[in-house]
Amino acid sequence: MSEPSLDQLERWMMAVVTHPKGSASGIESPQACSQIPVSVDEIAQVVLPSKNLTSIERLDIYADMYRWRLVDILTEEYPTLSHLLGKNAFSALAEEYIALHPSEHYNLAALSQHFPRFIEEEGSDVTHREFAAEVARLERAMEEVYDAPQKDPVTSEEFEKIPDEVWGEVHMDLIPALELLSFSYPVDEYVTSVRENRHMDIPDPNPSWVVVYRNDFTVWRSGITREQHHLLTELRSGQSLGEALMSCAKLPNVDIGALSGNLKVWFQNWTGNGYFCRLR
Amino acid sequence: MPCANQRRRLPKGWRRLLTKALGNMSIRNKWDFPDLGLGLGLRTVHYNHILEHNPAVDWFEILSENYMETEGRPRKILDQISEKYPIVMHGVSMSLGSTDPIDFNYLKSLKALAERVNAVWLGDHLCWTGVARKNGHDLYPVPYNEESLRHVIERIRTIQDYLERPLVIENPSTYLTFKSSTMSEEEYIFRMAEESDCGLLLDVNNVYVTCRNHDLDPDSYLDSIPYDRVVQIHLAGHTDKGTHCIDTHNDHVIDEVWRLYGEVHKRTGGRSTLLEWDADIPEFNVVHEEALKAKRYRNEVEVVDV
Repeated sequence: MSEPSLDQLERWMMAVVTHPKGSASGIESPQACSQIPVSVDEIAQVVLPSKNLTSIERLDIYADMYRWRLVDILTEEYPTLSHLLGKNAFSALAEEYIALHPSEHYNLAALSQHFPRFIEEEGSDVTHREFAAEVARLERAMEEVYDAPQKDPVTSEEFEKIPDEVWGEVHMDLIPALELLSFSYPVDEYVTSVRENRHMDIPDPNPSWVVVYRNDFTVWRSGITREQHHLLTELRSGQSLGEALMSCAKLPNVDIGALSGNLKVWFQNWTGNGYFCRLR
Repeated sequence: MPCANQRRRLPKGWRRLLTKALGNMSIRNKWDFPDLGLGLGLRTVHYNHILEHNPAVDWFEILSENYMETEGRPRKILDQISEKYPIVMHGVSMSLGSTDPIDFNYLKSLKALAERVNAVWLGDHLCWTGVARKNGHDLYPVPYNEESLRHVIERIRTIQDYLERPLVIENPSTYLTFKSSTMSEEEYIFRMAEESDCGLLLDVNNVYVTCRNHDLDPDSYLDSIPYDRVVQIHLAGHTDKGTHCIDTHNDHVIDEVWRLYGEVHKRTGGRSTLLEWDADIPEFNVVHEEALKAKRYRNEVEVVDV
């Protein structure tokens, strides 16, 4: 056999050590054979044995580390989902995910960007799939908010400078480090209980809304109402405050009186929590 | 016909002889990078301790990628720490050996971070981390042959030009040997460093691990290092599996690695030394005390017995 080029060798090794069933299966995979056509029996033509380890055992060191490392990262990023599904089931799903969506970016935080959708649509044998997918979506949002771009929030003094007559036309930009989520289950409550080591049965469906945001470089979660979620979503989409409120008023079964009565407190809290980075 | 390094290299054992002749004089690195003293890898679990206690650590090394794609807490903490301590950047994603194109978006972020923290120097590993746009997030070995050497040298030159500073490249821990290798790792590193004009980060634990895994003699390995290019030294613990060792950075430095560090110190007279502890990380003071053990060797005046 002629010596493989550097490119062939790297593509071969990548196919071998990232194969879901380990190096021996990887060597005989079409991806590996298209680069270097060797069988397991012939592997010493590519990788030499050491005094103590066979060629396959040496390749398996890299193959094992590939799986362990990436599964560990997903487990750290999704502790509640791991708790919900159980360690073994979660690890199996994580390995299935890695095989389907291998990492393409040097930033490991990008590894799990498709994981919530994978849990919802692709993963095999996901118990409590709908609830699990919502838990995954919340935990992914926390990860994204943790790293999101930093914008200094506007202060309450800046709000107070806005003349009463122009309030309706004001546009309020939300900080990048803020995610608005809506769920069919009380997901935030469940995540909190798991993170506080309190037992909670898998809840029955019940709509919930959550804002995940970063304030003073700490990530927070807060349950919000349907109206709050809608108002903030409209503001994020670029609507003026007046347009956003009009849209809110059209929600089914909305209590207009309560909505208008709560607005001042809501905006005081949101400003205090640093939700907005620009008024225009 | 002799290859380039054979013309330039002096006979084996020369460095020990020189060390004996010069006593414990320092062999300066060619860029005059300073000996920063004893540093630690900056790790998340120690952030609060560092900010509250301002420990007497000489410098910190950061894993570059941990601070490149975030504007959250890690970046904020780093800004605070870099105001008080010298920062060295050490990355894992340059993928010098990969046949994929150089990722200039990555380099742009790296360069911006280096300027932000006023990095004293920055570096990466002799390895590749992925190919065909697939990233294995591991430090994969290159075959030690002419083709890969030319490829790596060319990439180092390109990257150094872009970053406008020398790279400081670490010898890896490796677990396999390619049949297509035609030279030893230490010869490859010597030629890589000389021909690309890069600096070296000599990871003494990696020397030990690699030599164990490839049935090599670590003292002979150290004989071949061009110490005028060594800017920094790494120390770490590893996991000994009996049949092989894994570079896990999860424990104290073993005695044999300390001995090798002492040998290296005698040949350099002092290089910035960094302790890495990345898994099962204990309290800050335990890690710091482990790093301070290097003082025993740094204060030694004994010369090498040839």
